[in-house]
Amino acid sequence: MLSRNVFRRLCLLTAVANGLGNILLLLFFRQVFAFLQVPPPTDLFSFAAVAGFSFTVGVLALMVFLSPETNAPLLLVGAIGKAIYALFTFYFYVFHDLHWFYACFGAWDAAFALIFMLFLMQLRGSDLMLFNDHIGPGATPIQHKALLVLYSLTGTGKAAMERVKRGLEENGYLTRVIPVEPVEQNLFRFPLTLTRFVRIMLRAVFRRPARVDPLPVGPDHDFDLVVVFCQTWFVGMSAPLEGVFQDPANQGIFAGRDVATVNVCRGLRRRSQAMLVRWLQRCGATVVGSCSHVHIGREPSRVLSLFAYLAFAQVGKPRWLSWLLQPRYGLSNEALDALQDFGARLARRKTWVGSKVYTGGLR
Amino acid sequence: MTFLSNLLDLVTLAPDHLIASLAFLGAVMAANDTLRTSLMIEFTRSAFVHVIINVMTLLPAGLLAVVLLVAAYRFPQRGWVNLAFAVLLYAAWYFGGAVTRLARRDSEGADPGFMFVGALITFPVGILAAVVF
Repeated sequence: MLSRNVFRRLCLLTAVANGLGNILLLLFFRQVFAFLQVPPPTDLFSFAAVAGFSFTVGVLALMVFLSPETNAPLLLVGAIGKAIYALFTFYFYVFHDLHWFYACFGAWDAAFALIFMLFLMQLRGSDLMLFNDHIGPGATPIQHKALLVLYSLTGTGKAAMERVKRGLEENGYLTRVIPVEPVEQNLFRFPLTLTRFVRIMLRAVFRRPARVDPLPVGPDHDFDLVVVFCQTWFVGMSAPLEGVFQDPANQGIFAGRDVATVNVCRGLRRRSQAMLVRWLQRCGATVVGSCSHVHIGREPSRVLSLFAYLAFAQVGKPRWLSWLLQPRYGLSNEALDALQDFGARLARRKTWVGSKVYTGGLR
Repeated sequence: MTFLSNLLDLVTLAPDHLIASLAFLGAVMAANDTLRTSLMIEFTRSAFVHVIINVMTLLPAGLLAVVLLVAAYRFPQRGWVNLAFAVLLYAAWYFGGAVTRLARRDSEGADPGFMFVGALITFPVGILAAVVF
């Protein structure tokens, strides 16, 4: 991974190239073009105007270099500008015999369009990266009581949360598990039929909410920690779990509490994790940590195993495909051990409450 | 008309502009996955963005299937060799996702699982086009 400083220096590089480079080019383009045998610009006004715009992108890059977090949105503007410039240069180079000298600028801008996008990615949602790395400090007085909220269609989530629960209990926590019950029990039940799978899939893609039964705890509960489990359904949160947050009556359960998230999926975990964390933050929870695990095996076996299991509800079916399928469905032993360790670390987390000096977790 | 015919050459692996066409399509496929991966943690409540991300997950596969189909129609003798170029373009698709790991260690990178699903769309169409035309 490239560090923030590397990206900043790259921004400085293009700031100098675009800023200073364009001024020098405007002042000395006749000499430079003659030296490199580049045909002189046919339209001086367009040449000067493009140089002026390019200079502006240099200023933009300088602003990002000076204060990346504040000026992060400028990176998107810069990336779009550079990508468009690169695209036009490419087209005119291929079809209108544009000189290689201009093509170099296009290649430079294509590279920086990508660099800007990557830097923007790094700057956005950096808290999610921290939640995955550390168990952060809590804001709730430790009572050693944890509430585990989960919805699991196939049972993978239940097995995962069982290990988190074990980790918590081995470290002195009392736990209570609350399974989320969708109102549409006929739709959200396993094994699936093809019709129900297609309905669930379309609803997941279009984010149609799923109503759930009221949770059997109120906002005044005495659990200091809530652990929420979420599966990924077509890149996002599973509909029944999102239904918990879509009901305002449930949001108080998380407000002001320490909350951790557990995500299990076939392969795409980031969006469902981000959706869950952002819901929790909107509810006023203090997110102390997140972990996510993908199913056992490698691709494409993992994706085939998922669809085969959803279709046949049995491991190793269909038989003719069994050589490509995983011998078990769900998480590996290593992932389950990591979840137990996650539970243990949650139980041992530090808290800001009652202490002026925080000694562990996030810095 | 010139612009449109040039564009058609670019997106159909025209033999006269083969390298340019590969570069263009490769850039489109890579940009699709870079953008998709960067959108993963953005607009978490937006159904519209969610649909877009889902579409982008398999868009390159569908796009490439259409490319192979039209390319085989325009240049019938190149139907089979275009399948090999499609494999190259899948590498560009993979690169677009994998490069995001340079920015974030928590990025999933490319998704070979759904790329495999995509290959089940692209290549049968490509083979069919090579056979038919």
